[in-house]
Amino acid sequence: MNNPATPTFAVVGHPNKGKSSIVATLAHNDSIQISPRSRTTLTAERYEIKTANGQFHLIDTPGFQRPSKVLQWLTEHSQSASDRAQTIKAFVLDADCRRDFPDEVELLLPIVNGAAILYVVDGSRPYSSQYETEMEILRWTGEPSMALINPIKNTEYVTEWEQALHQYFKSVTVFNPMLADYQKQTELLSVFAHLKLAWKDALLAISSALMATEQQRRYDSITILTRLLEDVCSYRVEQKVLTESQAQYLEPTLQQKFYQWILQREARAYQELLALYTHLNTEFSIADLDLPSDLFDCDQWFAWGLSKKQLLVAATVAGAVGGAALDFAVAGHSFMLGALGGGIIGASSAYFGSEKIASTRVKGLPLGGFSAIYGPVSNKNFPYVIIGRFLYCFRYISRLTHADRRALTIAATDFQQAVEQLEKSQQKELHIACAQLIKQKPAPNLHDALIRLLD
Amino acid sequence: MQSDVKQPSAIAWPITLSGFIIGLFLSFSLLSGDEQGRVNLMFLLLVFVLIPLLSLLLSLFSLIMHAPTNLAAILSRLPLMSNQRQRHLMHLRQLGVDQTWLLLQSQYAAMAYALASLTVLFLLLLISDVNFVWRSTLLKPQQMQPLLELIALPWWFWDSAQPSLSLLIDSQDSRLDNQAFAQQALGNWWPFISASLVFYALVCRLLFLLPLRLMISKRMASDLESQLTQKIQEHHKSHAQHEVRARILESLPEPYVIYNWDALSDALMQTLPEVQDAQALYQRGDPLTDVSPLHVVIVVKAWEPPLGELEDTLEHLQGIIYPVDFDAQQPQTLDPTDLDEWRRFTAKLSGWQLYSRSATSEGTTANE
Repeated sequence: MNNPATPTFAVVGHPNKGKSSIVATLAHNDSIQISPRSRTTLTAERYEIKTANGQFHLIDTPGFQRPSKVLQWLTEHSQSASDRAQTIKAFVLDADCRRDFPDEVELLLPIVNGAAILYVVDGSRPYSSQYETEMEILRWTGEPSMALINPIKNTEYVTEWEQALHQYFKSVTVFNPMLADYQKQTELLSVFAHLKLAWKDALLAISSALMATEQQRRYDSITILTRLLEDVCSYRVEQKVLTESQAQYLEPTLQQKFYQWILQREARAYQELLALYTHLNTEFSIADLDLPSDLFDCDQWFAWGLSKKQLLVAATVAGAVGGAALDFAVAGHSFMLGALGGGIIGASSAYFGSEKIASTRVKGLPLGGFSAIYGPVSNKNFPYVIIGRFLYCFRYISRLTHADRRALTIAATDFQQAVEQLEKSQQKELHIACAQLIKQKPAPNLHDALIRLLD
Repeated sequence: MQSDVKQPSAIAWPITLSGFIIGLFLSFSLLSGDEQGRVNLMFLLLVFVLIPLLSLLLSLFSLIMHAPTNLAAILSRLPLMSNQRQRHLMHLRQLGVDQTWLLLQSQYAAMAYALASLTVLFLLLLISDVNFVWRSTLLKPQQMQPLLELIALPWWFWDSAQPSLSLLIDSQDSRLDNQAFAQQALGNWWPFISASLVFYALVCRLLFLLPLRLMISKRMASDLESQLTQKIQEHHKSHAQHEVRARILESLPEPYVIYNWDALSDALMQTLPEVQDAQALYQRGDPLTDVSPLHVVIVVKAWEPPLGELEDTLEHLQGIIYPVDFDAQQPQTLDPTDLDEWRRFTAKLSGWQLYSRSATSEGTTANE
C-alpha cells in the first residue's frame, strides 16, 4: 500500500514504448534495465527518488499484454459506472486473474493502491484504436492520470496522438527521456503537481531540491577537476640509479609510465564525474593526450635520496638542533652559540662534503648517485588542455539522461570561447591559478576560477 | 595508481621520530644531572609538565583557529620533502584535512616525546642514582606544596606519588650549603615525576589525539572522491543476456491463407504482394477452422511488440508470422530492432516460423 502523502506514479502503457526509459531518467538511475526487447519488465518495480525536501516514488510496470480480454472480464463483472473502480480492485485480487493476466495485475495493483497514472505512448509510430482498450481500462480505475508522448524515433505522429489522448487524459505532454535535461524533468514534476492537489506542495518542494542538487553537482564537478589538475600538474616519476648514463637509458620507460599515469588519473576523474551524475554503467574511452616531449631530467642525489638543496637544509637544521641541545645542557651559558655554530658547521659540511658523500660506499652501496626524472609538465598550456577535455566531458555527462546508454568518447576540445566569456579579472584569476600549478605552487583560487567556466 | 598518494605514513614517521629524538636528548641532558647525580626538580616540572601543557594549549589554539602552529606544520614547510611526500600533503589538502592531519602528527610526536622521556627516566633510575632536589630563592616548601598537590590531583589514589611537606623540606637544596641529604628522600620523588609525565605528557595528549583521529576519519569518509570511489567499487555492471532468435524464411510455402491480426486497412493489405497469392484473407476475430492443409500466415505490425493476446492465439496453431511495416502507405524495410523482437518471439513458439520479404541476408540462415 502506498503512503498517501508520498507522491507515487505508476508508469504504464503498451510494451516497448519507453516506460523504463522514462523511469530511468526521472529516477536518475541507469541500472534500470532498458532494452529494445519487450517483456524486459515482468514485475512492478518501485523506485524511491529521495531529495533533501522529500521523496516521490515511480513504479515501472510491465506492459499490457491482454487488454481486450481484461476489459471483457471487467465488463462482465461490472454492473454500472459507479462500481468500476471496485471491479478493478476485484480483478487484481482475483486468483484466476492473477494467473491468467499477470502483467495487467502487476500494472494495475499500484494504481489500486493509490498511485497516479503516467500512460506512455510512442509518438514516432501511428495511433491505433487498439490502444483505446488500454486507456479504457485505465479510465476505469478513476485515479488521476496523464499521458506522456515519448517520441522514440521522431515526432511524426505526435499531433495525431495528442488528439487521441486528449479524449482520455486531461494532461498530455511530450517527454523524450533521452533528451530531457534537469529543467525539463522538474517541469514535468510541476505538471505532476497538478494531477493531484494533495501532492502539489510536496512535488514543488522536491522540484526545488532537485535543482539544488544539480547546483551542488556542478560545484562537485569542479572539485573533481581541481584535484585532477593539481595531481597531473605535480606528477613526476623518478628512478634512482648509480650513473648518469643509466639515468639516460631509463628515459623511454619513465616516459611511458608518466603518460600512462596521466591518462589513468584523467580516466579516474571522468569515472568520478559519471558516478557523481549516477551514470555508473556508461562506458567511455579517452582520446590520446599530446604531452610535451622535453620532460626528462637527470639530477644528482646524496644521502637518503636528498637533493643538494635538501641536504644543505637537513645538515643545517641537524647542526642547529644538536647545538641547541648543548646550549640547553649548559643551561644557556653558551649564549646559544651552540645552535648558531652547529647550523654553520652543518651547512658548510653539506656544501663542501656533498661530493664526498656521493662517492662514499657503505657495505658496497653508494651514498649518492643520479636520478632519472620525468615530469612534471612545465608547459603553461597543459592545464588548459586538461580543463578543455574535462569541460567537454562535463557538458556531455551533465546533460546525459539515465535512459541514454551510449558510450562516451572524450576528445580534446577548444574551450577558448568559455574563457573569453569570462570577465577580464576572472580570466586573469584563471591564468594566475594555472601558472601557479605549473610552477608547483598551491593555487588556492583555482576552484573559484574554474567554476565560472560553467556559468 | 593512487597508492603513492594514499599512504601518508611516509611523512608521518619522520615527524614522530623528531618528537622521540627531542624527548630523548632533552630528558637525558636533564636527568643526567650534575656530578653528584642531582637533578633539579623545577627543571623537570618545566620539561615534563609545563612544556607539554603549553604545547597542548598551542595545539588547541591551532585546532580552533586553523593556525599551523604545531611541530609537524613547521617541519612540513622545510624544503626537505621529496616530490612524493609533497604529493601526500597535497592529497591531504585536497581532502581538507591537511592542517588537522599535521596537528595529529604533532600529537604523535608529543607522545613520542613523552615515551622517550619515560624510557630515559626509568633507564636512569635503573642504572644510576638520580637525586631529585629543588632550589628556589623565593619559594619555601610550604609555598611549593599546594602547587605540587594541585599537579598531583589527577592521581590522588596513588599515595606514594603525592608530594609531602617533609619530602619537600628534605629535598630542598642550596649550592652554598653542603648539607647532608637523606638519600632515600631524594629518590622518593620518582613516582611523582613519572605520574606527572604519564598524565600531562601522555594521557592528556591521548585525550586530545583520539577526537582528532575521529575528525580526520569522518572527514575522509565523507569526502566527495571517497564516496564516489566507493560508489564505483560497489557497482556491478550488468551483462548482456544471450538471446535465441528464429531464422527468417525467404519465401512463403504455398498454398497459404493470410490472417490480418492487427486489423490493417484493406488499402495497406493490398500493397503486400503476398496477399495477392493467398488462398483466402481472414480478419481478426474470424475463426481459423478448416484451413488445413493450407499454411496460415499471420500478418502483424512490425513496430508493435507481440502481446500476450497474440501468443495465446498462436499457442494451439502453427504457421508463419509475417511482420510488416509501412511508409507513406507503402511496405518498407523492417527496422532491425523490430525484426529482432519478432525473431525472439517466434523462437520461443512451437510450430511457428518467421517470414520477412524485406529482411537482409544477414541472420537468415540459422538460429542464433
